[in-house]
Amino acid sequence: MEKTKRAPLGQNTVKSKLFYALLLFIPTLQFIVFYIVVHVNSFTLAFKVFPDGTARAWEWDKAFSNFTVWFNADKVRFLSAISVSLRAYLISLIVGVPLGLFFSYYLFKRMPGAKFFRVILFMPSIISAAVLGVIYKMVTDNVVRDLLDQWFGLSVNFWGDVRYRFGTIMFFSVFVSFGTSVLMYTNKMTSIPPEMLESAQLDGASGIKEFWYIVLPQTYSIFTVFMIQSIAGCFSNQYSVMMLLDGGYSEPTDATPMGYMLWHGVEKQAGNVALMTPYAALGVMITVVIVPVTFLARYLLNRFGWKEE
Amino acid sequence: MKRKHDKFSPLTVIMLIVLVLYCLTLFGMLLWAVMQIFKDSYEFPYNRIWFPKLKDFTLVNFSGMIEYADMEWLVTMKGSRSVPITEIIFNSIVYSVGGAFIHVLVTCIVAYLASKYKYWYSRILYGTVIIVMIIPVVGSQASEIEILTKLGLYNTRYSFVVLKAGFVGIYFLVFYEMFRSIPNAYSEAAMIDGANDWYVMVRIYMPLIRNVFMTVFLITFITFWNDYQMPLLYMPDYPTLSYFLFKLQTSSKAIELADGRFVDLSYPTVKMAATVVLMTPILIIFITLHDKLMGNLTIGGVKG
Repeated sequence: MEKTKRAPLGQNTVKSKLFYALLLFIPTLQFIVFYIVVHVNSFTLAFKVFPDGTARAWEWDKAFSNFTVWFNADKVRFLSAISVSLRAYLISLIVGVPLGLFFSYYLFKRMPGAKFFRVILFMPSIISAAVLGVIYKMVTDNVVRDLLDQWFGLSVNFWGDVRYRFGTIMFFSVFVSFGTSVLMYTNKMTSIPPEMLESAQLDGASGIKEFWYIVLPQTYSIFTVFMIQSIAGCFSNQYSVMMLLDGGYSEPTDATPMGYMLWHGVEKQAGNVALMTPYAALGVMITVVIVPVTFLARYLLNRFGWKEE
Repeated sequence: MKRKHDKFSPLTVIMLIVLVLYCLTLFGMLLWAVMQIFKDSYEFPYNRIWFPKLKDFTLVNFSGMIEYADMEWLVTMKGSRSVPITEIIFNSIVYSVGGAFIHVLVTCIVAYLASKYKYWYSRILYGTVIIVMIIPVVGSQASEIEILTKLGLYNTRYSFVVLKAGFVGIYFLVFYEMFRSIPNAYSEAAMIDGANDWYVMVRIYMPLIRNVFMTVFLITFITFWNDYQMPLLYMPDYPTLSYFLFKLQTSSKAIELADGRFVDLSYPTVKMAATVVLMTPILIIFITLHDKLMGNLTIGGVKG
């Protein structure tokens, strides 16, 4: 029997091409303007100065003052922000990532309350960081502080005292970080062949051994994705600092990460681009560092990590 | 068959304890927030933790919130002005519903075209998304503001329409994979029957992915509803609820209401009322649809 000839979608007809081009015109234009032009412009902005302080007239910054300012007048802010970002990243890595994996293992093993805990762990991801941040700040200021005073006679100023401020911010940051990662890890764990787990159990493997030798290697691809994502976001993550620290009126060096410093630096200029050029330069410097680091991390994780079988 | 619980191990026992503490902390915080909204500013200094007595229950904090919105709280480039709560809610709905719909629709259409039309440009689109997602570029906000200003879109109510009409992101890959997994036989049969490209896309493929579309829309809507940073940065004169809460939490004014009562913004009571208003729609959506929202999530973002 003769086979009916089928026409694949977009089979070089003029109408198909026109349809294709018309629908893609606006998204392509949007991408060109708001990605390519924006980033090229961001790069050039880093080398411009606006002598009269407004965006009307500019000239090339022959002294690279937008860059050098971060090593002179703003050196303390710059170095502190790097330090805070790196410490915050390490805490997320050392505390947040293992906890996320352990929580996922608990849910995967369908231990008591697993379904309930899954929903609860996801909740902070859907409630606004503004809402949870304000509540957390008020609770630490009004409840925890009072109770510590009443019960233990301790006077702890979580937000005013340099000794506690960063730790209090990081507790919140880790606390709200489990939603998506736990879901992804748990979904991945469910794809582990049951016979693999059963044979480990028959061999008498403990929970920790099972976790280390079977579950962790089998979820390594997701782990890698999150690791690379966290490295890439190391200097852009704001850790909800804006909500937690007086709505941006203060920018204490002990607790201001790079992501927040960049964002707030632009926001407080109220639209005056002439005053934002040092932040464009800072963005360029960070991008130049973080891109190769991200690729190196990706290479190392793939080269030396577990191989899923 | 329903799977039984696995046996406890030391690891899972420790995790159970940590998870219980986690839940107590989260619920404790949310319950505390709810308790504060029924207190007035006179009671709070004497009872900072628990519910007020039944006879002292009040809704004055919501009135305080509305009154604050009617004051000149928003400092704009043209001076201070009030923004009534109705306008704030309107801005929130337009921004979150409109922004989410535009973003998801554009992403979905571009993914459809890239996956089903085997043109060279489709390969470029796919490669572009991957490259953009891999390369972390930091600190382009200043440039975005400059471009928006030049286009006359900075600080306008509907600038988000343009900003959100992009297709790059994880959901492009989700839609792309979804469309790719649907056999071409559907479109081929329709084409033989005389259907055109528009008909095939709108009447055949889009209905097949409507569940994924709705899930992505809801997740995006929640993200935009909660977002205060983008409105603050790109449309500062058009506050959303999240933006309003952000400004409210920095205020410490004492407000006299029309009936002579006072509310003191340096106490958390009014701020907690605003958090409850902001959180309630999202919690309703989450409680009603959490299976859909969470069950459909996988590494690609969403599964069908």
